[in-house]
Amino acid sequence: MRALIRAGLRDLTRRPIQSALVVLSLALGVAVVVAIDLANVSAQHGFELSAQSVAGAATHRVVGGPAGIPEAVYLQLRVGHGLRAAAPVVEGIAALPESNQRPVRVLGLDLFAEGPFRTDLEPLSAFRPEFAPFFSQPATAVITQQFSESLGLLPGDRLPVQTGDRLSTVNILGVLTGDTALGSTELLLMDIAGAQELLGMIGRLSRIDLILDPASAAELAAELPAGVRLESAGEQIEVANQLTAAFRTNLTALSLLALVVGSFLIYNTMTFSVLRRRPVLGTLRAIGSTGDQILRMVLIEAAVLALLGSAIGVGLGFVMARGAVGLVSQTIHDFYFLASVQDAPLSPGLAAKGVSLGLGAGLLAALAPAIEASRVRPVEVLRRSSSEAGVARRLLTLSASGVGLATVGAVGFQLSRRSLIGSFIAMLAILVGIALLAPLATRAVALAARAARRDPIIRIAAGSLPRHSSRTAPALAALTVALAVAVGVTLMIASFRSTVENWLSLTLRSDLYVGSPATTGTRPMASLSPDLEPRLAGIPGVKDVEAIRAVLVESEFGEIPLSAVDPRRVRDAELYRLAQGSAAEVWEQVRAGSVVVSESLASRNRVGSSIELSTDLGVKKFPVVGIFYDYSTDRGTVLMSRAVYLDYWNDPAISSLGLSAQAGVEPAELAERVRAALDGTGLEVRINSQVRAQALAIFDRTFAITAALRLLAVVVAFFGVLGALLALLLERSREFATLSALGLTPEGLRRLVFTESGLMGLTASLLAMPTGLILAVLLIEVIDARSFGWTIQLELHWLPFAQALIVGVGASLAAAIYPTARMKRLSLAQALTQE
Amino acid sequence: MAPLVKLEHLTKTYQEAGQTRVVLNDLSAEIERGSITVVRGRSGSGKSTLLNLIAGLDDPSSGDIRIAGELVTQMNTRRRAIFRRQHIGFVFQFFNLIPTLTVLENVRLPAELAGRPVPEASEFAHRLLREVGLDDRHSDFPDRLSGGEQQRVAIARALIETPVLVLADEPTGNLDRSAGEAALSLMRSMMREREVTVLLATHSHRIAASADIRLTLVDGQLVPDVGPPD
Repeated sequence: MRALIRAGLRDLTRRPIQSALVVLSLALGVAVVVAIDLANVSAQHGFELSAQSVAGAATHRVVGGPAGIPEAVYLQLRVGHGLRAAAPVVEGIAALPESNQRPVRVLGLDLFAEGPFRTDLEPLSAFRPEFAPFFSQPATAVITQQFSESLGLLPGDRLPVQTGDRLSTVNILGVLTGDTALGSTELLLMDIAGAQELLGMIGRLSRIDLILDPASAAELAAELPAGVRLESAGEQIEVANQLTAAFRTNLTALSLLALVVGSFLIYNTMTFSVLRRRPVLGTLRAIGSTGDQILRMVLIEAAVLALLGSAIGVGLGFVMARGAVGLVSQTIHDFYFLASVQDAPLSPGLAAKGVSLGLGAGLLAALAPAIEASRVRPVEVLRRSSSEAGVARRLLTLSASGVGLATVGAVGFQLSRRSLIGSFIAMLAILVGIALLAPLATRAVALAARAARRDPIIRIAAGSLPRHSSRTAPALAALTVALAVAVGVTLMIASFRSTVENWLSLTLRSDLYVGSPATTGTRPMASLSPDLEPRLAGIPGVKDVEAIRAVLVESEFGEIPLSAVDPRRVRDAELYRLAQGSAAEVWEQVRAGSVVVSESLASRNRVGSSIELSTDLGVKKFPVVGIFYDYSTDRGTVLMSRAVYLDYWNDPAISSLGLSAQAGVEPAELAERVRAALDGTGLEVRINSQVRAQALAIFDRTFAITAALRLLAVVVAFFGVLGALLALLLERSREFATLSALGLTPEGLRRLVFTESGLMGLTASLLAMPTGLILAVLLIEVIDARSFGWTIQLELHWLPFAQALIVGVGASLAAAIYPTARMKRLSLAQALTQE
Repeated sequence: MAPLVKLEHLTKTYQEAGQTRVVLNDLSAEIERGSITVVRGRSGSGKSTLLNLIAGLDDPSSGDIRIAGELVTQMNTRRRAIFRRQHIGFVFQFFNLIPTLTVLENVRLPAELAGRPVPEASEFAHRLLREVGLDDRHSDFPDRLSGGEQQRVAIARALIETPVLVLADEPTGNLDRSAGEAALSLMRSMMREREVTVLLATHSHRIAASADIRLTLVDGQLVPDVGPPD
């Protein structure tokens, strides 16, 4: 067996370019998986770390509505219930005007109550004179080491911060070292009174941390006043994980794509290798090797390539993760929550997972050629043409299997409605099933090419492709899969973007928007003073002011976003997917106390005819009278009249304002007037088109990583085509030499190789187009609805199809450059006498 | 009558394991127009090298080759390819049919490469296939044919462009005795009929016996072959 393995491994080293291409393809596939895995884990880890460090040793927390809880509740717990392990916390987000409005967490603690929760805040002891200003001076903060390093801040510096419509300056008193739990996150730590002042929360708390045993917790929960509730400390992390689960699953699925494409290439190479070595394998059988030994030999060859590729892939993935972490955390930042993500740590578990995936994919892909090799009869002298004839005979079987697999995938897709992973597996089956039709498609393209032109070079090229299908089919299938995914994902993104653009034009009806710069993306963070509304209404040229309050409220489905909007403006009928009556009738009911919910909330939670929300007056049931389209967040949103909101929540603050200009007043001109009126508040005034552009910029940023992933899959497929062409060239050197002997010029030979390669690209592109369209429909109609609950209108555009054609044919032609350059070195005399 | 092929001080050397091996050594010879010339020699004596040099598939280390008065050794690769297409036909030991083309397509390939209209090329190819007895197999691919049949197709292909010279390198080397003799007899009669000059390389005395001119390659030089028939 050792001799067999040695022979097999030497064969790999004798084909260094082909072996290197497989290793590289697989390395890229594994790298993408590892990078996305690392990015997901880092983002999750970053959030958990900051959530845990902010929570300290608390087991439970008392929380309230959007405006927080009255300080009196704390007194009641401490004195009334005799809870000693209780600490008040004020928490909020501030923006840093001098650092491009970067958001930072502000944490206000009562250090005298923190003893049971944080033992590592000893340096801030009130008994140390240098920290006396922390307690005695307003707007004084201690920053964490990570924050200090990332902004270059030192004790004594003054840091301008924006909270809501207030611009303040915070004095930096000291730096918390990294060895404290809080030190590894980015935050401004303040005394609770200072934080209340900074965040505009005088007399109110964000939460009260508690250490409770389960029995006391149950008892306390039952006794809390209306509008206040008890939750476990781990709940927040769990909710965050649930929130981002669909997003992470989608990324992971897409990251596996490059590995799938890479597996096709392993299959390609091992099939080449087995077919080329049939006489050698036959001889080995004749001299006593068993079929099992041959099987093991081929699998060991594949395992060596896969292990090498996986090891390189893990290292490459670690490097790529640096870019991916930024993109993933930015999206989580934009859509979900603020998490300080640190550099991705490559754990042995993650590395092992990458290697196992690469090795598994490699062995699985090599299994079929290995079995074929083990069945070679002793003293096999069949030429490859016989095998090719066999492949041609198997064309129908292969195509039927493809149709069968795609059908199974389609049925599986229908059955796996609620399972995201099941949906992806079914989609993969459909994709691979269609990819199995590549040899049939090659035959069709070849027939068309032969009929279309009388040029002998085109005819030779067209004739050679289907007859070399055992060489070209896997590379073609890989290219088809990569191009189909590129078409499908591009169509999905383009359709999604167009749907969002349409939705933005229906939603953004005001001429100007005023808001806090800290309110980025979809996180409701800022609280603006309610007196802004009359102030702005008084500015000459302002026709109308609409106040919007966006908050997170507790519901029967957990914490959900709620938007309280001006009841005067009736929403467009086009915004509703389902409505009880006309748009005007729906809005009349909203004014009267009903709500409408976004489709993602409705589909995720199967919202019925009413929804229960925790108000400051206790849990209330609100009738649901419509489902509206909303793409701002996949968490879903409840929309209600602000007048109704103010009846149930003691929260007069506003989050943003929409202003309409009087007829004849230019929005840009009005924006200048509003900016002048708001001078010193730090608030941002943006005209409609700027808001729309910012929303679309966030959209594009969200899909940046998707674009990178689909490009990588095409790169891997390119290596496949290159490998296939190199192997073909090597094997057909006698044929090329014969053609040369018969008078084909060197340019003619080059044209032949480029034509063959171009036809491969054309076949893959043509097959990828309908496949991509099917994929787009599946992604849009089901995956997006299943993952995020959004309806997206499919928009057919010629560009992704043209791109597939250009990329498919272009990549194939580019792959032919090196093989044709190598042909110059072909010794005609030698090649002609090869057996 | 001027010779068709003129070899002038032809030398071909190879570098093998750091040693220079002289295969053809200042060889000069002429091959008469319309003759069937056989070059015999042991395996590795340089027969194939000589044919490859005449065909312009390889470059001599020194010396010149003229065919029909044209200096082949001074032509670039492209010009040589066109020259081969117009003037030279080939019959190889391993037939070298293009596996992805049918019998008919293989035969008419040189005509198509020369830019002839396909109907015209097909008609001539059918005629040649009838002559070699394989017209009924014209739509088969080469892998469906026996070795002898493949070589008959190769003979038809070699004649499609009515060459002045046919180079045949061990044309029976991959055939059994009866198939080899049949192929050789067919080739001989077709070439004589068309007055095509044939240069045939073989190691067999028996094949050499039927030639007009018999030469042997010994120590890089062509000398008259006087060996007994085998």
